[in-house]
This record gives sequence, structure tokens and C-alpha cells, in this order.
Amino acid sequence: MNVLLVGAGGYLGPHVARALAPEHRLRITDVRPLPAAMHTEFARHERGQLDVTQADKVLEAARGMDAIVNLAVVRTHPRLAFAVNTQGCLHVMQAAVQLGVRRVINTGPHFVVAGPSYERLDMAIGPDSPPHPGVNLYALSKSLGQEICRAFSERHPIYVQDYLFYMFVDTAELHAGRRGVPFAITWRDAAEVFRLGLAIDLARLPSRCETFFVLGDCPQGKFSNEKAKRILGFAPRDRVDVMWQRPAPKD
Amino acid sequence: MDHGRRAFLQGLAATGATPRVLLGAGGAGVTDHDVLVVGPATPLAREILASLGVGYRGRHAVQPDSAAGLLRGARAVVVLPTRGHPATLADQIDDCTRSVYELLQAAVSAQVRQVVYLSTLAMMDAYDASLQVDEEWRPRPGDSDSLPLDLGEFVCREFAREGKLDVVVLRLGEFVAADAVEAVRRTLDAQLADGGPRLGSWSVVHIHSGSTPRFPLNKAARLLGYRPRTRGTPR
Repeated sequence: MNVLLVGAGGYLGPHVARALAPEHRLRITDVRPLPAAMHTEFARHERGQLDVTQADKVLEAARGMDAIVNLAVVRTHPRLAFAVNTQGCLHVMQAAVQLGVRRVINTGPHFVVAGPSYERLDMAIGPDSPPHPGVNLYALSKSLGQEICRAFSERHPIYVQDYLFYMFVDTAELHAGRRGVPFAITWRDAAEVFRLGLAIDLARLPSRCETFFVLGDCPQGKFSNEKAKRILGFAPRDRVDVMWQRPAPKD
Repeated sequence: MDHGRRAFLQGLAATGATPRVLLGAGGAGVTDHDVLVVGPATPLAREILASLGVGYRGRHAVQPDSAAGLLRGARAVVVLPTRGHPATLADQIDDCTRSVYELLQAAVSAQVRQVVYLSTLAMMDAYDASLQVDEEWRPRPGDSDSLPLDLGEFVCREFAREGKLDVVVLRLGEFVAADAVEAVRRTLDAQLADGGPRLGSWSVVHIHSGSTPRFPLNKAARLLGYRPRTRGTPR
């Protein structure tokens, strides 16, 4: 499959590219020049610069692709956050419509759905709750982007999967007493879900727009990864639960 | 989209792009009922300003970016969130998301609590015409012209959800100007009435001038006492 990765030069992008590279032909892009290490590691794949805020450039980059994976994000700059997180989704979906790309994977933080009105009060929070991003710039601008994806998918035969994350950890951090927020996953497990999302038969998705919480088996039960397991076949390799084990007493 | 609703969207959009400030009805000086109207200088915006009448002083900012300085002392903001026509979908989405977000953040900072957001019933057009569609139905804008306004409602709703603002969304269908203006004035009356707001932090109300039962006006009548006054040709 030909896959366009947008915003792939950030934290998650290299892990996603690594997971997809053996099975797919990647067009790896970011608004900034990709790190030298990515050029080396992914030398047999296309690499380039792409600003997701430029609709014509997104269209050009998406030409010939079977899927678009949107990893682009801006967290704090007011204008850029809306330009990238909201308008960026518009540009991806417009390109998908124009070019007949049927598979789009969008990404964002957990509070695209589970903002403070859920997180402060509730347990067993799932990805299919009505979105409550609140007014945090990052959360709201990303949630609006996802609404655009949803709106387009209702009118056009495009299947959108939205993967929501919170805390990423290295496998070296998986030790007792590490702790963290109850929505954690290792980088490599996070990347694996993209491989599953490209592999899944689109007819097996319950609708043309599905949201998934992507986290390891956190023991708190505050957020649920059940849907990702059930539909995508997600099976985390790494045990994040050990981060909440009591450290062994020191002598 | 039918002609009337398209006319509404285009009517909101017919404007120049230069930021400017107009003074509307009422006397000089800050009162407890200062109202800031933010949006294109359309006939509807001018009629809203002109209709505010005794007890109100209206101000107008064409663009949200020029509105922040006018919020001090205001009691309410009326938002008509569409820029000049023709505008791209991206421009309209920017107006209804980033610009509205920044305007509402400024309103919170200026302690302006009451917001009236003018939206469109066109986002309900996807439902079969045989159905009676009221405010409890989920909007289905798709990627139509009404998507930006649906996203604008989304932004407003989050401010209301967090208790930062009290927002009334008026989704306008086919309307004659006098009825739309009346709905806005009645909303402001309800929001700013002595004894506290009767509308809560979040309300969506369907407004139109027609007699068609497709979009019942029961909620508008119950909350605002609204009934179409004019039976002319809706625009």
C-alpha cells in the first residue's frame, strides 16, 4: 500500500514509519526537514517536506496514495494550532475526496474526546462518548479537526480511524514505581496500531468514522482500550501496568 | 440547500473585509446593557443594531480580531460568524473556529457572559423533508456550507460546558429580517432580564419565518415567546 505520512518528523512519526516500512511504500513528510537518522533508516522510501496548512501541497503529496496518516500537531500557538490541527484535517479530507483515497488515519490526544468534564469525574471512559474537549486550545482544535473528518466521511466513501493517545513511554521506563497517567503506552505498541489500521478490511469497521483510545493495559480502568482490541486486533506487547507496582523496599 | 437558507448564508457573508466599528442604537455612555455585535456589516447586522431600542447600546465589530477592545463593559455579544463572500470553506472554517475561539476567550477575560450565536438550520437539511426536526436532532452538515457554522456551535458549546459563558444558538432557517431581529432581541431580553438568566448555560433554538411544520418552533415560543410576526416572502 502507498501511504502518506504527514507530520512524521515528530515524536511518534519515526516509530510509525518503522512499524510500517517493511510492508508499505511510504511517503514520509514533515513541515521541517526530517532528521538525518530518518533519511538513513528509511532510505528506500520517499521523504520530503510538507506543510499540512497548505491545501495544494497536501493534494500534491497525496496523489497516488492508498492511505493518509496524519500525525501533524501544534499544541500551544493559537493560530498555528487551528491551522494545523483543524484546517490540516480539512486539507487531508479534501485531498482524499479529490483523489479517491479511502483510508485516512487521524491522530490526537485523549482529550479530543475525554476532556476535563469526563476525566475529572468518570471511570471506564471509552472512545465513543460524545466529545467533550473543553476549551483547552490543543484539545479543542484537534477535536474540531476530528469533527471535520467525521463530517466528510458522512458524505464521501472515506473511512477515517482516529487514534487518540496520552502518555508515551520507552520500554526502559517500564519499572515499578515509575507511575504516570492512566492512559500510557510504549512507543512501539503505539506504532503497531497503525500497522493494524492499514491492514484492516474497511468493511469490518462499524462505520466510516471510528475513534479508538490507544493505550496499554493500564490497571486503573479509567480509560478503555477494549475497542481497539476488539476491532483492530490490538494486543499490546509491553506491560505498562508494572509502572504502578510498588517498588521493592530498599535495604 | 434551498434558496432561502443559501440566501441566509450568502446574506451573512456580503461584506467588506476592513475592520471597523459602528455605533448602533441607544444613548452615549456605558450602560448595563451594552451589546457587541460581531460579524459582517450585512443588512441583518445593521437591523439587529437598529432594533435594540431603549435600554441597550449596540456596538459593531466587523471582525472578531477588532472586537476584543470593545468587550469591556459589554453585557452580551451577538456573533454572526461569516466573512465576505465568496470565501473558501477553509476561510469560513477559520472564522467559525479560530476567530470564534479567540473572541470567546476575550469575552471570558472581559467578564462578558452572555453570547448569542447566529447559526443556520441548513445543517439539518440532510434529514428527509417528511420528518419533523427539532433541536434534539443531531446536526448533519456533511461538508456543505453549513459545516463551518456547525463547528462554530461546537466551539461555543465547550465554553458553555465549562461554565465560562452562557450561550444561546439561534439556528436561522428561511426568515424575514424582522423575525430574525425579533428573535435576537427576545434572546437578549431573556439573557439580560433582571432576576437572572432563564435560558441556562446552553440553548439551541430553531428560528424561521415560515409556517412549515418541518422545523417546529415550540422551543422558540416556550423559551423566547417567539412567533413569526411577518408572513412575507422569507429570504
